[in-house]
Amino acid sequence: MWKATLKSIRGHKGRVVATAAAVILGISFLAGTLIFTSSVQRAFDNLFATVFETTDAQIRSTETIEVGFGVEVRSRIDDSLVADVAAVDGVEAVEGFVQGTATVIGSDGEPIGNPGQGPPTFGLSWGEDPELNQFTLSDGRAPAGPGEMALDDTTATAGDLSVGDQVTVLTSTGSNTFELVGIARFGTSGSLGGATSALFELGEAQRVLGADGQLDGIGIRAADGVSEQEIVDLVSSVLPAQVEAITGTEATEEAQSAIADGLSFFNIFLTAFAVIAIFVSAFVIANTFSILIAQRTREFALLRALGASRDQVLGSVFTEALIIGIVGSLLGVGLGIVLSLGLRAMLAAFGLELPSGGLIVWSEMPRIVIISLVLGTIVTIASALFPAIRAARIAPVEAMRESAAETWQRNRVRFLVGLAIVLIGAAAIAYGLLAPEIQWAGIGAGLMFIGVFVLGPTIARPISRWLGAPIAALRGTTGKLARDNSMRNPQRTARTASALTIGVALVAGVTVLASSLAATIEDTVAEGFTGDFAIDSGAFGPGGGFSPALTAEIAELPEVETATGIRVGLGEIEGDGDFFSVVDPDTAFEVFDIGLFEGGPETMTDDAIFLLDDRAESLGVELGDTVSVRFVDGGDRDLTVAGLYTEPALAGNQAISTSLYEATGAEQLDFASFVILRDGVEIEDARTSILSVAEAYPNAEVQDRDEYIESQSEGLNQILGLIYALLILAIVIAAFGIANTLRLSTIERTREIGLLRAVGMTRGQVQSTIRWEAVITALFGAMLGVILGLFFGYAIIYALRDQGVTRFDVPILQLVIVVVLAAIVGLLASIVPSVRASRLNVLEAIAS
Amino acid sequence: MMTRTATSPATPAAPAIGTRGPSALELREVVKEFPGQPPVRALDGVSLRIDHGELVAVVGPSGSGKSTLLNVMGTLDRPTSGVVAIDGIDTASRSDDDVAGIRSRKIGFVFQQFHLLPGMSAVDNVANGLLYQGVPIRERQRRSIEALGRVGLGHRLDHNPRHLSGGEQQRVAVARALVHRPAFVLADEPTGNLDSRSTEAVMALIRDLNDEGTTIVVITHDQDIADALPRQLTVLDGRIESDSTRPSTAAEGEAVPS
Repeated sequence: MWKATLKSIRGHKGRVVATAAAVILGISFLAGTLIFTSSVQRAFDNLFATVFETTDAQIRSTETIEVGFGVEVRSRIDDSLVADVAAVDGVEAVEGFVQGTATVIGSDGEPIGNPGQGPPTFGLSWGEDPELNQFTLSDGRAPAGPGEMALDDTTATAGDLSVGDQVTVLTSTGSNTFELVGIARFGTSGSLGGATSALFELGEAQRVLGADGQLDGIGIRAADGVSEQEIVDLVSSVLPAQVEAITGTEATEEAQSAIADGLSFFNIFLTAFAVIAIFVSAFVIANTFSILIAQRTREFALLRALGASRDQVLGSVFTEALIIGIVGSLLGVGLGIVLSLGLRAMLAAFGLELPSGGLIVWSEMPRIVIISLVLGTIVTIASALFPAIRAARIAPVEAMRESAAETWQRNRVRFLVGLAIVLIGAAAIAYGLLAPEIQWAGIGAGLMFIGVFVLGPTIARPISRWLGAPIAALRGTTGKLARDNSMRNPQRTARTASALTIGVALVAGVTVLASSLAATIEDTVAEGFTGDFAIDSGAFGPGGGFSPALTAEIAELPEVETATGIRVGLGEIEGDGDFFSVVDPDTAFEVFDIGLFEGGPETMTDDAIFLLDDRAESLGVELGDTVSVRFVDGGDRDLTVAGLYTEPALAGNQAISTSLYEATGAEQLDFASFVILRDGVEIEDARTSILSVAEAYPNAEVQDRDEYIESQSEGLNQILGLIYALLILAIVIAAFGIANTLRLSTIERTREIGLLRAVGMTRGQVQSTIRWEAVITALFGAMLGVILGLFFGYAIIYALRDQGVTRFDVPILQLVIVVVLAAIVGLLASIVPSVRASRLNVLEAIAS
Repeated sequence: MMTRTATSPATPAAPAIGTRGPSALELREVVKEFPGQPPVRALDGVSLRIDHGELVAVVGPSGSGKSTLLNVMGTLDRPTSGVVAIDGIDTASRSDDDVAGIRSRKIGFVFQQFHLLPGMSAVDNVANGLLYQGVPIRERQRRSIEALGRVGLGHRLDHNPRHLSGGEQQRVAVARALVHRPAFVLADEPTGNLDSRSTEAVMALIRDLNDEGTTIVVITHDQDIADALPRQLTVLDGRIESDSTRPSTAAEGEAVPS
C-alpha cells in the first residue's frame, strides 16, 4: 500500500506540487511566526542573562503598578540606603542606579526611537563598578559629571553621533544639551534590546531624570563564598519597609518574563494571522483534493475493480495526504525561516524595531518543527477527509464509464445546511462580541466561511451568470465561453473562490472597521476639542512624551490664552492596573469637552477622581463615593468620585489632577499639549511663535486644530497597513488555489480545448477564455468576501457602540479597489494555466 | 451444435460435463433493475454457469443488458435479486469489503479502455493486480515479470503505458488480469480500441491463455469475434437469448474476424 501510494505520488508530480504548495504556504507563515518570536524572545533572554551575570542581588522598591503586556512602573527608593547596604558584612560592592525616559536627538535634529511604537528610550546612570555596570565602553570614556553623557553604540550610529558631539536629550525635566564623551555596548549587544540608552554619571542622571536623592535600585556584588541567597538574607535585615532584595537570578528571570509579557500581545497578533493563513490553506487543499479525486474517479474505480476495498481506497488517499502533509510542512518550515526574516524587515519598515540577535534559535526548532508538522499534517488530512470519503464511495461500475468528470446537481439540502451554518456562525459572532468572548467571534467567523463554502455551489451559477454578463457582452465568444465554463461546474467555481472569499472578507472587514473607527475618532475629537492648536508627542503611555516645561513655556506666549498638558498615568483602581488621564483642572476643561455631567474643574482636587460613567457603573460607585487607588509610590489613597463624564475616547476610564499625580513621584511627561489662542490672534502668527518654542523639543509636533483632528486617526492607518501586509499572505494562498484549479480544469477539458482549436479558435482566444473565467471566479469570491466583510465590520462596530463607536462608515472606494485587486489576483493566477492550455497540441488533445 | 435456450438454464444439479467441484461463475435467476419511472429492468432472470477452463463469448447488441451482465458477473454491481456465485462463493450476503476481497482473488478484468495507470511502469501496473491480496512486494514483482512474459511483453517491463502501442497496452492489461491466477478473467470489448492486427494478436493471446487453463469470458458486440470462441452466450433484452457450444477444435483453421 505504502509503496503503491508513493508510486502514485511519484507518477503525478504536478498534482502533488499543487496540493503541497498550499500546505507549504500555510505552514510557512506559522513556522515563520514561531521562529521569529522565539528568536526575539531568545535575544532578550540571552541579553539579560549576560547582563545580570555579575549581579548577586538587587535592592528595589516593592511598589509597582502593572497594566499588563509588560507595562510596569516601579517606585524609587532613597539613595541613603546605599551606605546602609554597603556596611553589611559580605557585601563586596554596591552601586545605586536610576533610570527614566530620555529621548536622544540625532544629528539631523530628529528624535531617535519612539517609545509609542517600539522599544523604550531610556535615560540611565553609568555604573562605576565595572562588574555591576551592564554597559562596557567601546569608545571614549565614561561620563564623569555634569554636562557629560555616553550613548549606546546602536543609538549613536542611528543618530550619526560620535564622541565630542553636543547632543540634545529630552527628559521629564526639559531639554538639555550634553557632550558625548563615550560610546558603550550593552553586554554583547550594541544596545539594550533595541532601546536607546542615554548614560549619565549618577548625580547628573538623578538631576536630569528628576530623581534627586532617589534611586531606582541598588546592585550588589557579594564577597567570595557568599551565595546569592545569603547576601539577600544579609542585606534584607537593614532594609526599611517597602524595599526588597532579590537575587541576581530572580532579576534575570523577571526581566526575561517582562519581555515575554510585552511580546505576548505581539505573538497573539501574529499567531492570529498564522491561523488565518492555515485556514485559507485548508480551503485550497480541500479544493485541490476534490478536483484531483474527481479526475481520478476512474483510477479509484479501477482499483476497486482490482479488488481494493473502500477502506483501502480511503487509506490510499489518506496516505497521500499524510505524505503531502509531512513533506509540505517540512518545506513550510524551511520557507518559514525565510519568512521570519521578511517579518523582521516588514515590522522594521512599520517602525517596530526589534533587537538584533540570532535569527534561528536551534534549541526551539524541534518544538517549532513538531508543531508545524502536526498541524500541517492534520490540516492536510482533514482537508482530504471529505474528498477521500467521496472517492471511497465511487462505485466500481464507474470505471467502465467513458467520462468521469465531476457532475453537479442542484441540491436543496445543501442550500439549507449552508444557510444554517452561516446563521449559526453569525450567532456565534454576535455572542462572541457581546459576551464578550472573542474566541467565539473567531469561531463564528470560521463557521460563516464554512457555511458560505457549503452554500457557494448553490449560488455560484446564477451569480456567475450575472457577473459574467458584461464580460460575455464585451468579449464576444471568448467571454461567453468563459462565463459558461464558470457556470458549468458551480461547485468548483465556488470552492475555488472560497479561499479568496476569506482573504477579501478579512480585508474588507478590517477596512470597514478602520474607516468607521477613524470617522468616530474624528467626530469625537472635533466635538470635544475646542482648542486652536495641539502639540503632540506621538507617544502614549509611560515613558513617552515631552517635558511639562514645554507646556509652561507655551502658556507664557503672548498669543496664548490657555495651554494645558495632558499626561498618562499608571495606577491601580480597586486593585486593577489601568491608565489614568492626568489633567490640569484649571485649564483642561476649557480645551476639552469630555461630556462632564457631574462635577467641574473646581471639584477635581488632589483627593478626587473623575470617572467615565460606564467605569463608575462597573465599579459600582456613584458621585461622592470613594474608590481605593494606588500609585507607584505605594499606599492606598481613598479618592472621592467628584466628577462623571461620557467620552472615553478623550479621557479614558478615569482622570485625576496633575498635582495629585506629581505627588506620587511618578515620572511626569506630557504626551500632548493643547492651546487656546487669545481673541484676534492670527493662526499663522501663533503657529510661528509656538514653533519657535517647540523647536527645542524635537519630539513635539505642532498641529493646528484641523491637522490635529485628522492626525488622530493616523495611528489606525499604520495598524491597518500592518494588517493588510499580513493578510496579503492569505490572498497569495488564494491565488495559488485559483491557479491550481484552473490548471486542473484545463487538463480535464483538454479534448474540448483541442476541439475548439481544431474548429479555428486561436491561441489568444483560448488564453482569453481561461483568463476571463478566472476573473469571474475571483469576482464571485470577492463579492461574497465583501458581503461577509461588511457583516463582520458591522458586527464589531455594533459591539463597540457602548465604547463610543457611533459611526458605521462604508468606504465604497476602498471596497471597490479591493474587488478590482481581487479580479487582478484572478488574472495573475490564470497566466500559467492559460498559457499551458493554449500550447496544447491540437491533434493530441482531441485524441486523448 | 447444441443449443440451450434461456428458458432452460443450467442448474447446479446439472453440472457441465468434464468439470468437478464448483463452477468458476454461476448466476441464478439474476434480476437487475435500475430506478426510474418506470424502473428499467436491465437483467430479467438470467441464469448461467461457466466452468473452469471455459472460453466464453457474451455477445449482444447495444442496450441488450450486456454491460449490466458484465458488472454483475464481475461483482462490480449487485443484482436486485438472484444469486451470483464466484468459484462457489455466494456473494449476495457478503459485505462490500468481502466482495472486494473476492474480486481481488478470483476475478481479473480487461477493459476496452485498457485502464492502465499512467506514470507507472508496465510491471507496476501488472503488480497492481496483486496489490490487494497482501502479496509481498518481491513476489509481486516476480510474478508480474512472469505474467508480462506470458503475454509476450518480457522486453517492455519498465515502459510507461503511454509509450506502448494499443495492442501492447491491452496485453499489459491482460497480464494484470491473470497475474493473481483468478477463477476467471472478464474481458470487456478487449479489442474495441484496437486495429485489426492488434485485435488478432490479443485474441490469439486469449486463446493461448485459455489453452493453458485460464477461464475467460469475453464480452463483445462483435459477432465475428464471438463466433470464433467455443461457447457463445447471446444476450437480448436482459435475457440469455441463446447459449451455444461447439467443439473447441472447430475453432482451428477458422479465419480470425477482421
